[in-house]
Amino acid sequence: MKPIKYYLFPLILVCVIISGFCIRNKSDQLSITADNGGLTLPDGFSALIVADKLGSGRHIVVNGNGDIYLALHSLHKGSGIVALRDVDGDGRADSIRYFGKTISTGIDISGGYLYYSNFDEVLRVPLSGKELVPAGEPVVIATGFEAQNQHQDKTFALDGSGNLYVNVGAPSNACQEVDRTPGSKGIDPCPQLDRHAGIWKFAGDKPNQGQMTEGHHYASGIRNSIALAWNNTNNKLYVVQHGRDQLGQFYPNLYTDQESAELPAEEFFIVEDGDFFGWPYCYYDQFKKQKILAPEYGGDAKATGRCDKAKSPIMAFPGHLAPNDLMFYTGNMFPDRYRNGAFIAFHGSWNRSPMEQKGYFVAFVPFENGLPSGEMETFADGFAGVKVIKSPNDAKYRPMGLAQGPDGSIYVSDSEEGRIWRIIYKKK
Amino acid sequence: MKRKVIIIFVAPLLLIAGYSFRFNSDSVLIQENPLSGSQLYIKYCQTCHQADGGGVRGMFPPLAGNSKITGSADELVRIVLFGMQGSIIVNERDYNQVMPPQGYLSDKQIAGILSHVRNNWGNKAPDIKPEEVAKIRKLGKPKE
Repeated sequence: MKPIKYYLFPLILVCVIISGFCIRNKSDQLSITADNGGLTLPDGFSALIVADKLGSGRHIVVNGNGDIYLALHSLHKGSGIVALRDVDGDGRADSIRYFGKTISTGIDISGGYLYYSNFDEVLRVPLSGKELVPAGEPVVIATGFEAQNQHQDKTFALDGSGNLYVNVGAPSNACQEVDRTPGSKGIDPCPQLDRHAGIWKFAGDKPNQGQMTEGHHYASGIRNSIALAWNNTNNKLYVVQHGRDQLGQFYPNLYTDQESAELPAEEFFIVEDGDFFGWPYCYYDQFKKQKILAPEYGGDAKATGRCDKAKSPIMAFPGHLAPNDLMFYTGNMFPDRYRNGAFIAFHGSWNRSPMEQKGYFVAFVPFENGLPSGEMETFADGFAGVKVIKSPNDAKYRPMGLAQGPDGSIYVSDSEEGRIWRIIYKKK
Repeated sequence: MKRKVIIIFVAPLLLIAGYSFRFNSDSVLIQENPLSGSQLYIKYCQTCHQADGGGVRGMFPPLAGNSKITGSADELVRIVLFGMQGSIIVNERDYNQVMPPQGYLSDKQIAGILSHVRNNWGNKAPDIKPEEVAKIRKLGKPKE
């Protein structure tokens, strides 16, 4: 028998060739469907359905090993999170496991931990990278939030430097004496700003921090920002706000049905320590390009009143589109123009009636130096499955969460049927 | 002569008065000819509960095919007058939002809206009369 050194090299060569084929086969075998899972996408992009019927999907995150975690807004099989793993490399989830005792919306991964939130707290649990379902006990990181019956999702962003930023939505539409009631005045000053309608900052690793004790009141005057993301290019927090509802319904003398459908804008903010963005006193009119005094506070659809004190948006979107997730693209798979740009999931409107509802698509906004460098464009559409949406229930799917995979794919979750799409780009 | 003059002047005055009285009662009639239940629904309810009465999944419960709508009239009137909040399940789906009190609407308006929603989109239940709304309004907001 010859010494090992004589056939070591050929052996290694064979191994390298085989493994090379395996890797190639893996990415070539993605089971893209001809109709892209019902989505319409720009040229060169295609999509596959990762999984279906998972429950009411909310935010989504993909781990470095490709495992997917999806928060659920109502318990499914008794659990509030679903974990998915693609074992055979075709892109479709083979192993689907449910865990977590409470319903969730926010979900993210940082520093080897899975962070997730419900209405009352933000928790984290270590991820080993091997087990799909985290084996450890979750630890509460942020807590002590007041119970509320609207905008209660404690969505959050992590900055990668150990800090956690939690969205605490307003417990009302416009801080009226009687919420959502015609003729009811706005409370001045609005006491809800003390504990709501802003961003609170916490240490990402310290257990049981109370909102009003260890939590730092980072920014205020944000009605509700389900969509928030940290931008690594300039180390700043960005959020997209859900603007207030029902201008025309409560003030038919000031707003036509058409104006009420378009106003106010959904505002895109850069959020820095100490910022105030205007809710409930002001809203942004994207046609006049300025903050306008809310009618509950004496506004007449034109006066700007005290609104010069509110920080302006970096971009304004049409009213009521419901921006429910924001993600900056840092991958290499998509063409260069997408790099560091913002993807926004517009869940779609409910209160543009009697006009048709709008939204229900994923938008892309190109960025340069931390600011939008072009108009918003439709990136993924067709979720609703119908041309005209009179009522949100007409939509078969509604885009809710966005995540980037380790290869630069984008994952989109749906809130209605519990579908996940994976969107890829292939050079021609 | 003097009497004749009085009649000549007074008669048209009476006629005018009579006409204007008619006009007056007409305008009262116009004011009392209120929006129908379906028009009031569009104005006050449709934004959330939608034109098809289907509500919004995950936010606002449907009125169509909802047994609370076609069930107890008193309970339904109470919800509209005094609002409701907290988690409810309708047709196996969760809803957890705020229904603001609509007590600023008149008994007649609420009766019109509720009769409309109880007899549309496949719902079928007896109309609700303004007196029934008045009765619940008088009882006041139930203690929590």
